[in-house]
Amino acid sequence: MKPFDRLRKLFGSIGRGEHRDGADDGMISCEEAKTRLFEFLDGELAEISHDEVERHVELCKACYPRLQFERHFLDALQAAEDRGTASPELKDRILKVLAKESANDSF
Amino acid sequence: MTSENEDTPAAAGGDSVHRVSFIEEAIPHMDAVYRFALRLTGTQDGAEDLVQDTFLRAYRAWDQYTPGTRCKSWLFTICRNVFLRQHERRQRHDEIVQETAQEDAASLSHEAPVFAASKDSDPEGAFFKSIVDEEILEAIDDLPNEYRMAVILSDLEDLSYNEIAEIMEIPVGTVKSRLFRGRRQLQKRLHGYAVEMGYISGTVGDQ
Repeated sequence: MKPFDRLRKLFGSIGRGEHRDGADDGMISCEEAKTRLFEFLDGELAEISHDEVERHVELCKACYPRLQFERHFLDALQAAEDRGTASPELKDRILKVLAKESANDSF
Repeated sequence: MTSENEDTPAAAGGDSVHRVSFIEEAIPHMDAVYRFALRLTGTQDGAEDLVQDTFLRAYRAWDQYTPGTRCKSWLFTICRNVFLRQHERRQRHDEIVQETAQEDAASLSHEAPVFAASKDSDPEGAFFKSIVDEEILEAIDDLPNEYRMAVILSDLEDLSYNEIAEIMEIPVGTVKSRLFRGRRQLQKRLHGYAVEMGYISGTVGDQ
């Protein structure tokens, strides 16, 4: 969507609150968007369904904070865990166990 | 994709090929398996033992692995099975799993009680960014086993619902309901923590 369209849509939605089924712009309802929100954020929706939710949450004043809320939550989870690595000692230990296993099995 | 076959001998006579391909394909996933094991066991020692058992079993069953398929998922499946077997000796592994396969994943996505509670003071959930990593990991560690696995595999290891379904040996619908339920429990706990720490105004435990 072009930036201009996005702005127009954003301003257009102010004060309108939640979208209802059959809204004039053809968007899916807030209910539907929320129901698919986690799958949307997880990248698990088929293309058409993904686009519908994306369009809705980008333009709906009521749903945008909800999208950000879930996003901040999921980002926090991801950020909490990006360091743990197996120690070199553990790697050595395992390679030794495997070598021993091979030796036991060889004829 | 089942991993359990302890009687499978290492490829007889083809030891070096067997070993080389295992080292090339499986060993690079050790860090990911270690992180998974650490979250499952909660201790470094426990995690290291679990990783060792996982790789030993994987090595013995390497003939059953199909080259080119998702090796990481395959290792996670073994890791989960080893963990559950060890864990079951101490307590019944499943405290929670009574839900049916399709249990309202959609409504779990739809309903967001913590969002509703913090809507006025922090509508976009910025408070999540203030929470220290240790608190988040501790909250994950305290989830019931089956929710915890789904959350770890999805949110920490970034696996798809299909991959998680394979690893946990459950339908995709159940993956969704466990994952979403686990996330809602985490949100509740992290919100309570944020209120306690004064990151956000509100009442602890008002959900």
